[in-house]
Amino acid sequence: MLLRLYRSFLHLFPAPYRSTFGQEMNAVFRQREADVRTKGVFARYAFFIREFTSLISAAIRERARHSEAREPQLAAGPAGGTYDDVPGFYTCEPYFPRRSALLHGGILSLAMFGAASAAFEYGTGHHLFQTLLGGSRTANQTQFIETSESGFAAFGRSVAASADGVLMLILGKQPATATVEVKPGREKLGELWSNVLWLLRVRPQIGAGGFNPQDLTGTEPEEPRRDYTSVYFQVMPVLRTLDADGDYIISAAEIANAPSALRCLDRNHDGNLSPEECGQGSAESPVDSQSLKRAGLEFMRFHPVLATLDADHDCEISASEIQNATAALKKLDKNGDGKLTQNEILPDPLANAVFFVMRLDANGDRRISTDERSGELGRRYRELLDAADQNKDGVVTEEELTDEIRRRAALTGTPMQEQK
Amino acid sequence: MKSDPTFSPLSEPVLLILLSLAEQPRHGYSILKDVEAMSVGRVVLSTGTLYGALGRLLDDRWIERFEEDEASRDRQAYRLTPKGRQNLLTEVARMKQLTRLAGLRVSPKEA
Repeated sequence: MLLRLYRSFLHLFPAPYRSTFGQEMNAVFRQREADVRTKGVFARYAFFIREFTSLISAAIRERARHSEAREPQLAAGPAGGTYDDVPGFYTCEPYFPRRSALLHGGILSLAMFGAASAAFEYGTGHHLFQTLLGGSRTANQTQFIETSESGFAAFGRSVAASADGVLMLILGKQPATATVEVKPGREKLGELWSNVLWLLRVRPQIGAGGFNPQDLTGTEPEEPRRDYTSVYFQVMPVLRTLDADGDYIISAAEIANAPSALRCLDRNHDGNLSPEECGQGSAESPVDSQSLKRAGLEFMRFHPVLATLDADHDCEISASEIQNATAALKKLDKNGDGKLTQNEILPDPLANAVFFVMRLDANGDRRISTDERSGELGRRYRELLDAADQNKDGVVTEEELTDEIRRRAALTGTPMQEQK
Repeated sequence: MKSDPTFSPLSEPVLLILLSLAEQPRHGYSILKDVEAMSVGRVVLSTGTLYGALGRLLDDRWIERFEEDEASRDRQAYRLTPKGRQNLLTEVARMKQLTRLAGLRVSPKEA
């Protein structure tokens, strides 16, 4: 073993020196080691220590000598010396990396770039990429964006829901909305980068002065207002129809004209308004009729205007309910000013948040089980659901979810009412 | 033959190595043993020290390597070159002079 160690120590010497003396040194060491075997332990230890320490110091000396011997060859001047006794100096570094080093460096750089790109591209199922950078792969999919950055505290801890490409956000104390426009064919990596750029662009606008929704969309001032109310009206055909003058207020006249306005939404002319006709989006994948019915019920129950119009809560606005729409809408006029403003129309943000997350509840038991969390949407909400599961039984009840969202809203100063 | 103008006093190990080779050509292990014997065990060279010195002496052409008959690659022999022998004689003369001088200066006081 000592001989092997000695041989390995010989590699400390410069290669020319090693090729000249390596075998001899090895042979002499072997003979010397045989000599000390017959002596005492102390003598053997002294021999080993002397041999290896002197070997190291000799290697250092030889390396220094080797480099000194090379320098005159690199110096400009006759026979490695100087011109006219003027000392020669290096004016530039003669060193240049080997071709193999450049090649390996290039390959390594490409590999790292590929790995980073793959992580961005395919890492959206994981929490880090998903919550911080990732967006949905389709424009109409609900997004829940979280970030721990202080500048986005309100942004990250609020619910972002989308419908027809509209991303609804609750930012700080001011509910706001923004439209996410994903260009066709750029749903994957392109969307990711657009989200990053979007975040970077929005970030400086969120400060002491509050949040301006126009900063989100980058729209020009002369374009129509895009705030929470306006977007909500746009994605809700019932409200869009009722608000004939487009001022996002259902005036007394518009309330009075509600029956005839609502009948215009009856596309299949059956006299009733189904959830789809009221604005419920179609499912991305085939679902059974029971789930469809339950989703319709949830949809009609969630939106205050629809819940009021669907008086018997049978998941559709029947002809008689359309006829009684004026009286029903007047019930929403809590302050009695004869018109419906945003405070009386918009759903509670807390209920909004809970509603969108509870879509994971496939069996309708108002609990989100581990199996129901296993899908793509469940992975997106994983951090929220883990935090909400206070008793750590793997099942998140609607109450636990509500408490967690309310807690986060309180942390960020987002005003929320009690869920109805 | 003139001695090397860049000649400087030799260290004891190098001097002993040269003295060892002055008697006859030797290989590495033999040099070690001879140096140890000459110094009565006071100077024990390690392989690193020995071959470091041999390398410098080879570069300065004070010694040369040659192949002994039936010798393997790990038993190269070394011998003094005329230049090396001359420098060794110069060094020995210098030391003699120093010894004589020391005898003149130290002995009367001791006496």
